Amino acid sequence: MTASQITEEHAASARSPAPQLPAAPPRRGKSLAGLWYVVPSMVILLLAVVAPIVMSAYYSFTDYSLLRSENWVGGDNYRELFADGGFRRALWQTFVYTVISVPLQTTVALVVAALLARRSRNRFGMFVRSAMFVPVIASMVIIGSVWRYLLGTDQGVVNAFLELVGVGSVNWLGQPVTALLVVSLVTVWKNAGYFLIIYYAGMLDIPEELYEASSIDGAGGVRQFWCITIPSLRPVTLLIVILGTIWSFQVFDLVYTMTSGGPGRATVTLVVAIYNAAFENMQMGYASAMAMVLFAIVFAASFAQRLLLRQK
Amino acid sequence: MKANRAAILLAAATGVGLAAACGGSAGEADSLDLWLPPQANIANASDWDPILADFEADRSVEVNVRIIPWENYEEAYLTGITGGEGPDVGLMYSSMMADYLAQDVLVPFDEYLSNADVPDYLYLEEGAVAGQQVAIPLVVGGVRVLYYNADLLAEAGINEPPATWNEFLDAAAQLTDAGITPLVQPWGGHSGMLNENFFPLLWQADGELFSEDGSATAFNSSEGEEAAGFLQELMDTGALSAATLSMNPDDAESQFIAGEAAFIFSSDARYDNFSDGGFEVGLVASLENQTRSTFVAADALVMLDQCPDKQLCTDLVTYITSPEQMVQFHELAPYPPLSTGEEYTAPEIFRDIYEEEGLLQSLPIVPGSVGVYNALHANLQQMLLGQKTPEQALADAADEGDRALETAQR
Repeated sequence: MTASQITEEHAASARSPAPQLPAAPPRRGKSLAGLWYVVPSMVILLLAVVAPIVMSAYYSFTDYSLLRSENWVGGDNYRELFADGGFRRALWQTFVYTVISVPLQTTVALVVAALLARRSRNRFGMFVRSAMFVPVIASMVIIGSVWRYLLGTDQGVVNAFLELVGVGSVNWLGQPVTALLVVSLVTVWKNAGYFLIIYYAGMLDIPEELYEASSIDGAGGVRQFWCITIPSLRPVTLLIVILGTIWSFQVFDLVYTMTSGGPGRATVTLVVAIYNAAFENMQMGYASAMAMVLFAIVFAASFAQRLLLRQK
Repeated sequence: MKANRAAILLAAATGVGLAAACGGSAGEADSLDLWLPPQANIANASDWDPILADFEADRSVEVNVRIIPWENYEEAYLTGITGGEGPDVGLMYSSMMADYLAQDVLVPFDEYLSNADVPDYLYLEEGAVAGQQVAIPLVVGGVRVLYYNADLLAEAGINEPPATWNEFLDAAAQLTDAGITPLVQPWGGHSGMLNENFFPLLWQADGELFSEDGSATAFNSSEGEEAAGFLQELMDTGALSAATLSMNPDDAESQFIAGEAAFIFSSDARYDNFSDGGFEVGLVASLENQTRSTFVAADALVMLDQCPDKQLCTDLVTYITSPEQMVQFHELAPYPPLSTGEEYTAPEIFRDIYEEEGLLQSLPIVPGSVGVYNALHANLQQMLLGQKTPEQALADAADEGDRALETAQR
């Protein structure tokens, strides 16, 4: 069938009278019935998600302290926030943490998933996938404690190994640069397994014929990875990068367990700063203003994801 | 899965705020809620049953004890009180007490003490603020002392433990020469570690944390600089290793117990652990500079404004802290006596320390003090990292601390 034949058929069907369909039930009643189905989830969503956001937005313009009724202070919290060196530092450190952890965890997950999907669809592959998923389901607090122990300066296993090979011990968590780096790397270790599963599932959807055809054309494994795997996984990669970015901006437990934000505030992230303001200094209004900035960042990241996915 | 703790708490707080707006009561006069942390061998609410039994029977009231782990102690109070589900009576530490007092959540005992059977307290002034009896101490203990490993000192040729700052520096140098780590100090933890890492040094230099009225910091002074300078000297001379900045209290303690360091500043509550270390352990109550002084915790019972019967709550507090009940309490938690009618049952080795006039200091009750301690801790860390001089660290901490005080006391 040619394109002109298809067009003619469509034109003919458009000219013929429309078939008589059975009378539809009244639209209004149908809509109301549907509404009742979504009401429970809407109520939960409103109470658990929308209400706290709206209340936080309101509190960000007050001097709320949890224990005392709030007074409206207008934009004072935001003015104070942007003049606060501690907040700017927390924002910058969160950004650095994100820049280290997101590309690394994405790359590790992609490479391992590609190796498993192309070369190890067997029990070994299953074992690797399961092993890498263990950190994902482990508690962040336990992970932080275990890595703290492993990276201990004087008694840590990592330093014992480094000394064995003649490198000498490193004060991983006691220096500003290494502390932030280590927290970022532990995040990669924790998250890579989750993103690996997503990538692996995405790779199973890539038609095998593409690889077969490219093999016939003489493409090797690396070329197939660059020219078939990576382009085919573009939406998945986008999702993983955006998700990883959002998670990175929300990091709290790991930092709190491993460094408590130290040394010398070198690992204070945005959420750690929010926690300190809200629950140590009882400045809930100020903490809410910080939370709204975090919300704006996360919202922007989510919006960018939708925009980029729609473009494709 | 990735929901963070702060976000959850923030949401919970707003959630309970909504709930509170819908109503709810603090409790009935026939029952009282008492919130306490775990203490020594007291880990469960049922451990308090024998202590509270007579009060419950005599006053026909049920006392519901809730033991809250230290890890989320203040959060539990914050969310509980905000939601109208807080306690009628609870135990607070000084910095916590100050903030709740500033928020008008606590009710002073003065009006009700005259009608109560009040023991002859030894530390009542620790719970007084601006002439009001805001709290009644329940636990005065956890004194910070300098422990030493006598075997390691002997190995380095040190026959007498140091008594002054200079003697300590000399001993540290001798230990370093002998290849022994002189001191382990946990600077990698939270600001609560200042209780042993810095406050005693400040007081020994004759410095103060706050101005008399508590409206400003006072540690940015020549005395403060002397204390911070001493710390810096410990770092520069190798008495403290660089690892100190990543060390938490458990790390420091395990190294001392393993015989890897000669000195540690720690609480009297840790004495049993240290004495099990397989070496001869000794202690110095306080090093001397301008004076001798060290930290002691004074955690106290407070009455919250939601208590339905203030006299009953006051009676509960005086009952718990009476010599008869404290005997039972101290069997499980061996702290020094609270009143003159009580026998000393804490470890004998600390008796002289608790009885020495003017040696022990607890933290003053100042609203906003947590912000001050956090600022001081972070800036001293930066000093030990070599990012700031002692003068810069104290000046920056004072700036930030004064802002925290101003905000809290506004």
